[in-house]
This record gives sequence, structure tokens and C-alpha cells, in this order.
Amino acid sequence: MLRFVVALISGLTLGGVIALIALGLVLAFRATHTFNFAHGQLMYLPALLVGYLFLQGRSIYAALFIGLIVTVTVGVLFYALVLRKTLGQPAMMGIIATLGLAFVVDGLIGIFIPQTQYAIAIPGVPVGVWEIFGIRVSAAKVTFAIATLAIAIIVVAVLRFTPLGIRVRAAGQNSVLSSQCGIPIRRIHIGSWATAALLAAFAGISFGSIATVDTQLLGLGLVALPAIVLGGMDSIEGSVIAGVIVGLVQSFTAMYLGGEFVDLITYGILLMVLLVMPQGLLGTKTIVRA
Amino acid sequence: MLFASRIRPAWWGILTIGLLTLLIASTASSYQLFLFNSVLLASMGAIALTILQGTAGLISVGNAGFMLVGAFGAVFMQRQGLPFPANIVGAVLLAGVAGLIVGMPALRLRGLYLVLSTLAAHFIAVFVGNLYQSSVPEAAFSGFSVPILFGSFGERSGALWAIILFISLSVIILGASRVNRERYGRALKMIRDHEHVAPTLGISVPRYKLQVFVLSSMVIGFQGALLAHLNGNVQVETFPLHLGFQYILIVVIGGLGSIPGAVIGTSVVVALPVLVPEIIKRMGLGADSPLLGANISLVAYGIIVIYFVTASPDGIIGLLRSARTRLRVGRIKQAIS
Repeated sequence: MLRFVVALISGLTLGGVIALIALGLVLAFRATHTFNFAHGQLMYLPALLVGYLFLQGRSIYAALFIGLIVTVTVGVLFYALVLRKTLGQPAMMGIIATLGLAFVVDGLIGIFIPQTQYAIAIPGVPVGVWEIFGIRVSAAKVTFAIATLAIAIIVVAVLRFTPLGIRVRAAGQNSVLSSQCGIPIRRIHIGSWATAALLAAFAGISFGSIATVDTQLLGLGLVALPAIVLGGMDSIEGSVIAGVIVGLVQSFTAMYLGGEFVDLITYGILLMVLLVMPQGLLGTKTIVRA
Repeated sequence: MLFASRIRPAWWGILTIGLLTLLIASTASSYQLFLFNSVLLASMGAIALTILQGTAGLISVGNAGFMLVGAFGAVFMQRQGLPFPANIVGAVLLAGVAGLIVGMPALRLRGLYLVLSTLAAHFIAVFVGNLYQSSVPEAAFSGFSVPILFGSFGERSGALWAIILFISLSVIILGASRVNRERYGRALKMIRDHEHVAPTLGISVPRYKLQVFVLSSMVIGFQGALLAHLNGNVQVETFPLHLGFQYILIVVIGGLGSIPGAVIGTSVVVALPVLVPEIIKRMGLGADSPLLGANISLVAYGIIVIYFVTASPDGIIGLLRSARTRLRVGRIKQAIS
């Protein structure tokens, strides 16, 4: 029971983070039909910046603000300067461009940020332990699980129920038709990439403050790929649900089988989903099969 | 067949590399020879990927994973008692089988989804490698040590390796040119551009896709097995996912689907982290941070690849070709006026 609750709580915390990343990936995918292989870098960068600036003596709020702004700027610039120019080319070129972005951000991080590990402490987050069903769990973990899931649900609700959300979804489904209905496609795509970067920054900073900020954030960005495939590539709701599922699976695997099996199980799921149900849980069945 | 006019450019390429090999093997320092050997070795994997990705349109991040299979395969076979050349053959076959398994999803999924299945394959290969490495007590921490081939020749070993690598690379270039320029390659291009039309021309899409996937995996596995004998050490950490990404960059920088492009791209990517720190040192910078050069070359990779993706999708080869065309057009214009 103890192990179960501990695995559940850390799974939900991890799941909340993965859900945020996956949500951003799906938004970016719907806008430009590219998997963003640099999403891990978009998480690592703000988390490092916050840790570094705070250590330099800035206030934590200024550090958070700068971290978020820089990340969103990177996302928007990358879309405006690079991805828009790959529009007429095969979708593969977009993926390769995101690999290029990953290398650039990696290099810049190495040049400008002296350490590769930081600790972040966000004010207002409860410390210590709480007792749930008589089992002591970390208060910060529970808070972040709730906070990340709340952010994800708010974003999903906005996309589902507001006129803006309808425009975003329409633009993702059929950009030609929706542009003829007067939806500003380019602004929506820029907005999607900005939101994706912002969500990645939230995810990176949350994960960094639960654990430490280090290179494992880069791997976490990749773990969101199985999540969005499981959720169904273009499904916004599916990405959040699948993100939580992947988080839970990872934490239960680590608890009951051992840490070395985590990657095997996660990417095994990816392979199985690709083979057995490529449309995922909630995705549209538009995958072209040979 | 081997001297058909269609693959004549390949012979010119081989001749050039051969002369370079002779020149470098007889004059260069052992460090320069080591770099040259790295280029020759990495070119093999880059050629395999450029056929897979450029000609057949199957994008893969699995290079590092298949190299791991090849290297670990060679170690495994050797520990089972197979001596040097036989263990490489075994490793190549093993990589082929791995390619067959990973290629299965490629039959059902198109384009973007294959990149995810090769991503999954990478992590599964790493898992199996870790499992094997930790099951052998003496290799658990620092990896397997493999007897370095020609190690007993001392100074001359680099030159011997250069010759071995040159011969292997030549065979691969010839094979790849035949694939690229003859019926087989045209079928692959048809599958890449119009997958639904290809069967009406009598092209069996699943067979071609699987074949090209298996063949390229075998070449990459061969590269991994040779790497094991060149390095003398095999461990999982040698094959990070980043390496697989790097091969995609190599292929794009050189020019997708172009064999000389793959070799040129490899030279650029191997040369950058050597040249950039040198330039920085000359400029008198970075004395206090040893990693500055490495980081600047990372940024340079990224910017180069983004430049080619956005401005010139055919890579360095595309630039060379358009320069040649411009030269010709200029000459014709001159002749007319």
C-alpha cells in the first residue's frame, strides 16, 4: 500500500509535467505538422535560467519572468524564422530543423550558463510532508501534480470552449479552409508555438523544482513523444490523458520493476501503439497506411 | 556491371578517396590519421542513412542504435569464441535481423511515424545493451575491452586501418551507387514520392522498404563492429541518441540522397569540433573555458543545418551543382555575345 501510494503520487506529478509537455507538442504539431525534437531543450533552458539568475542574486520572480520570456521568444523566433520557410517541403525537413534547434540551444546553454545543475525553490510552495491515508508524501509533489494538471486542464478548456479555441482547432484541422473563413492562420501558428514553448517552460520549471534541474529534462522532452502518440497525435484532450498515463506507467515501472525498465516500457508502449492502433486513444483516423 | 557508365562517378569518387588515403597515410601525423579514419568510418553510416532517408524517404534516428547492435554483436560473437573477421560477419547479420524487426512498422506506417519507431528502437537497443553489459561482471562499469586490431603494429596501425577502411568504404560506395542510380533506386524514389502509385508499376512496396531498411542496418552494424575493433572499448555510453541525430544532420548538410554528399557532410561534421577550438585558440579566446570550442561547434552544426533546411534543401552537393550550372550558363552567355 505504501509503495502503491508513493508510486501513485510521483506518477501523478510526473504525469502532470508530461501532460504539459505533450500538450505543447500537440499544439505545435497541429500548427506545423512537425514533432519538436527540441522540446526537451525548451524545458531545460528556462529551468536553467531560473536557477542561474536566482543564484546571481535576482529575485525569484524576475528570474521566472526572464526564463519564461526567453523561452517563448525562442519558440516564436524558431517558428517565424525557420519553420515557416519549410512550409512547402516534406514534413521531414521540419523535424530536421527542430534537431538543428536542439543543437543550437544546447550549444548556447553550454556557452552562457556555467553549471549544468541548479536547484529551484519557488515561493509559496508548501514544504515538508502531508499525510494522505496515513502515508506521508511530499507536499511539494502533490502541489505540483495539482498545479500542472490544473494548467493543462485550463488550456484544454480554453481550446474546447472559447471562440479562440475553435479558431485554433479549425486552423489545425484544415488551414486552407479556415483561412478562407477569415481565421488569421499565421498568428494562430505563432500563438501555438508560443503556447507550446510556455507550457514547456512551465513543465521544465515544475520538474526542476521537484527534483533538480539537470540534463534529465532533455530526456523528459522525448518521453512526451510516446505520450502524444498514445493520445492520438492531433488530439488535445488525448495528449493530457496520455501524458498522465505515461507518467503513471513510468513511476509504477520504476517502483515495481526497477528504474532500468522505465525506458523499455515507455518506448515499448510507443512501438505497440504505432503498430496496433496508430490513431491512438482519441486521435482522428487519418493515418495513411501503406 | 561494376563498370557500367551509370556508376562511373562512383569510381572517380573512390579514386579521389584512395589518393587522399595514400597521401594522408604516408605523410600525416597519427592524430590527423585518426581523424581521417573517423571520417572514413562515419561515412559508411552516413551513406546508409542517405539512401534510407534521401532515396527511400524513410526518416530514421536509429543510427546510434544500430551501431550499438553492431558493436555489441561483435563483442558477443567474440566472447562466444568467434575470431576477428567471423565475429564482424555475425554482428552484421545480427544488425540485419534487428533492422528487419524495426523495419516492420515501416511497412504499415509512413513518413513521420517511422522516426518514432526508430526512436523506440534506439531505447530498446540501449536497454538490451545495458542488460548484456551488466550481466558480464568485468564489463559492468567501463565496458568491454576488445583487442585493438593491428594494435601490435604500433605507429603503423593507423595507416593499416586507413587501408582497411578505404577498401570497405569503396565497396559500400559502389553498392550504394548501384542502389541509387539503377532500377532499384528508381523504385525506391517512386515509393518515396508516390507510394500509392508504386504498386501499379509492379513495385512491391513492402519488399523494397524492408530490403532497404535491412541493408542500411547491416551497413551501420558493420560500422559499429569496426568501431569496436578500432576503439578497443565498447560500452552503451558510446552510442547516445545524440549520435543518431548527428547522422541526420550529416546527411542533410551533405545533401539528402547523395553519396558524395554523405562523405562531404561527414567530413564537415568531423572537422568542425576540431577546427573551431583551434580557431578560437588562435583568436585568443576561451582560455578559461575548455568547452567553449565544443559548444560553439554545436551551435555551428545547428545553424548550418537550419540554413540548409530553409535556404538550400539539397545541401552542399546542391550548392556545388547550382554553382556548376551557373558557370555553364555564364559560359554559354559569353559564347552567344
